[in-house]
Amino acid sequence: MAGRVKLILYMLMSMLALLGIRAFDLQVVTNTDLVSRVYNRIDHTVKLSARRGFILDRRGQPLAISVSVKSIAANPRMIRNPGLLSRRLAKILSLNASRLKKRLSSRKYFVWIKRYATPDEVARIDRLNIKGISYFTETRRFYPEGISLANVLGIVGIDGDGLEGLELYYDKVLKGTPRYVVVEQDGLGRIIYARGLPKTSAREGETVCLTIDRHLQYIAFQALREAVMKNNARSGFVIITNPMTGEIYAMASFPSFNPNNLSYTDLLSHKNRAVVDTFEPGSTLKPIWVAWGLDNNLFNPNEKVFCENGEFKVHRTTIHDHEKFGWLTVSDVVKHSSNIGMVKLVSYIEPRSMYKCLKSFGFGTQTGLDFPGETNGLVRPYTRWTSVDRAELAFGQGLSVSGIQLITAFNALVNGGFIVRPHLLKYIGDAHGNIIHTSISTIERRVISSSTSEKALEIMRQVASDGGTGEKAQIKNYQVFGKTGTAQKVDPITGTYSKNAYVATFVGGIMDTFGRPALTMIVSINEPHPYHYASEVACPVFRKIGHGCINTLGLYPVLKVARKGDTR
Amino acid sequence: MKRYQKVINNIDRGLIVTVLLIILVGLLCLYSATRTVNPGIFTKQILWILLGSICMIIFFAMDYRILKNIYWPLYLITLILLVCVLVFGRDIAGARRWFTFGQVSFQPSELAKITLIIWIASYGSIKKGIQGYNIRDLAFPFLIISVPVILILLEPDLGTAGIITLIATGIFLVIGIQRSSLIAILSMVSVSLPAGWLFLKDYQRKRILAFLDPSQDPLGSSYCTIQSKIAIGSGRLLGKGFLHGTQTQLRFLPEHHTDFIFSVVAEEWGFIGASILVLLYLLLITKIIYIGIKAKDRFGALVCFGIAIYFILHVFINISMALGIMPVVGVPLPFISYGGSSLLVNMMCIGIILSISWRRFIF
Repeated sequence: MAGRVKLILYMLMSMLALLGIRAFDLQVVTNTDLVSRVYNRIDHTVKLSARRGFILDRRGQPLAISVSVKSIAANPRMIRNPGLLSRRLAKILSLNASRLKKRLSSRKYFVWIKRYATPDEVARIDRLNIKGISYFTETRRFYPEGISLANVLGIVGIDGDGLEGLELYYDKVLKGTPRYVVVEQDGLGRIIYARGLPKTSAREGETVCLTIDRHLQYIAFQALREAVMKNNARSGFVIITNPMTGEIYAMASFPSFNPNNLSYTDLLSHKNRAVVDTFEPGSTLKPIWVAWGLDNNLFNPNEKVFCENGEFKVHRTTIHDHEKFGWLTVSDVVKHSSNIGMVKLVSYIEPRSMYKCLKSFGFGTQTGLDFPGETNGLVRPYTRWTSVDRAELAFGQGLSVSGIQLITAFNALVNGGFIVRPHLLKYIGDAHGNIIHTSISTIERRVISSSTSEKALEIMRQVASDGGTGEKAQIKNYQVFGKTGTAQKVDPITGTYSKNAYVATFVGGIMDTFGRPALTMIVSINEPHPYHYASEVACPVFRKIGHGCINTLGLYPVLKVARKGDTR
Repeated sequence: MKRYQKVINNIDRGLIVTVLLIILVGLLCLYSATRTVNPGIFTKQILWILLGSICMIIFFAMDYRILKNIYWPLYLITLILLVCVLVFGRDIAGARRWFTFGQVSFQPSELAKITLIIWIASYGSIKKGIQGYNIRDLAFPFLIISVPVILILLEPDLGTAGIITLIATGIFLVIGIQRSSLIAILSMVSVSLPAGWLFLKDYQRKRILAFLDPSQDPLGSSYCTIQSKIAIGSGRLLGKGFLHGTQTQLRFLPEHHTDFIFSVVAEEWGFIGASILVLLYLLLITKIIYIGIKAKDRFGALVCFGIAIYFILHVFINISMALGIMPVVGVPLPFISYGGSSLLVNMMCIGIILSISWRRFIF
């Protein structure tokens, strides 16, 4: 027996040796992996996002704010009587009781009852004092202007990144810098303690103040929506700018979307059509040709051209006017928007010069607007133009431009001849209200002389006078100028100009008391039916918004020289 | 007075000191493992240790040879308790292993371990085989042992049933089995082992599979093993220090006060600390074996060897499990794991050993 007992002893020794080897292997030899796994497990970096900055309008009114909102959740395993509870909750939260009951009767440990509940709802549910209901504070981006500015402001994703529009363009500024805190967690994932805040201090999101005026924006959007609906149009946009500074007072696009209740079903409605869409400018290009011709002394405003009574052949293409005209002055060609007259005037301009004109007015290149996804538009090189192409360019067909390009070029016509870079940013302020960056209006280049600009302005004033195509844009007691444009759209199927798809555009402005342009505006309605003339479709919208602008911006009517016999 | 002095001198003080050291290590670890989660456990364990000490003294004072005479009643009491626990026992996590009296619970299968050691020792000291036992000699003890083993399997408690089987096998190997019989038994066992798989509960099968491939289900069955290995491995040579084991303190390691307490030792005290604990066990077990060798009668010797095997198996299986070289079975680490029944039985064993050791001087 003693031998066998010794055997036990030896066995015991070797067993313990085995344990020792194993423990030595785990603890001393190959343990870097196990050690790092421990620290990976307990040390977690928690990102403390900075509060996203606000977006304000030019008067400091909020356009986008981040608010803390409570969401209500439940642990269904702790809910005693789901039937009764769901009925009570559904009443307070205006939810579907049977659907809520189904969710509360599930075997899960966590279900949402309502995301982003109102403070009142939270208080009322809190008063019921139900076990198993919990609240979570979430940050939510809220847009007080809702649908009217949605295309410009864009959206923020669920993790706080700007995804579209200005939220995307100024994302870095708005977001601030997050702080990273190393915390230790226990086996259940609960944070035990933070190892102290890092030395680099968090930068709160900065405030972005826009040149947008929320009143004008609202007025513009409402008028646009009404016009698009009334004319059975596909879409439309409005831009209101200060022609001197390039500030954008309003930029509306329709169809739009509700940024406070996002559904990603109709992404086309997210487009800011004023910046990303292109169209053929049509007759709105005419004053630019005229100004270019005048500036280069190719003709003078009172020179007359024969308008062929409404029919003119260029090669095998016949060009028509909407009315039969005979002899018209240069000014009247623009006023009545004669295509034939325009073709004849533009024939004075060399193709190379025409191309230079288009390029210097900024067509074919981005304006530099602070907005993501701006289009270049399309201007084909003059070496590839045929004589028909040249003729069509005279009345604004055969090139594509964006709304923002057209208004920028138009501003140069009326502001003394400068291409001023359009912008949406007024200033950037830090979290304490200090302005840290102010955007300064940038003149890109001079394109025409100031005297030519004055002449162009006078010609466009005629357009909006009685008998002009822009007659319906008139605002009583105010000087209005502008140019209509009814452009044919290319049918995407046949590749030729369509007979019933038009873009009706009016580019215009209102003068202040002293005869200087106070604001400019472009109204563009895409595919209106049954009326498609800009004078019928776009001009009334301009007038309507113009009225609103006068009240909002406080424009005074034109001065009147007193005459004898005037009653007071 | 002189006689009294002699009584004191003859007590195996080395054994007592070893046990006390192990208990001390155990208490420190238990404190570390439970202070944040359930501080009551620590005080309860101290009460159990006091109760165990009383038990130890009673068994030390009692002549161990009495046990040889009452081995049948002891066996029957054990059987009754095992039947009762199946009928009246408290159902915890799908198993009926405990009698619960308020705050205190008692596990009769722990008691069964020692009563069966006593039964086998008595049987072995009465029926002596000259060239060892043959299969016919083993048939009766096999029957006797299989009744409580089956009762424990019904609870179900695979770990304890297995341990009892191994202890019994160990003692019979020490007593001696004829070579031909041994071969026959071994071949029978190896044939019947796969059949045993069919009787396992789902969670038991999962544990064994998880042992074979821990990466298969890291959050489920093999979670304990992986966490335990991480704890032990991250302890390195010197450990993270008392109360500074992250795996333990942050509750990554489940069951760290019962089955996985060795991981706490290894994490907080490192390889050095764990080795010292293992060496303490080695010292304890060798002491028990030497007491057995020096015992005056065959019964005493067999009881000593039985208890030694009992400790060897517990220590080895528990630590292997923590180190990930054996599947997870609920086997406590003697004197260290929290658990009243196990501690009580362990102290009882030490009492019997002390009694055997002391009484060799009397006759």
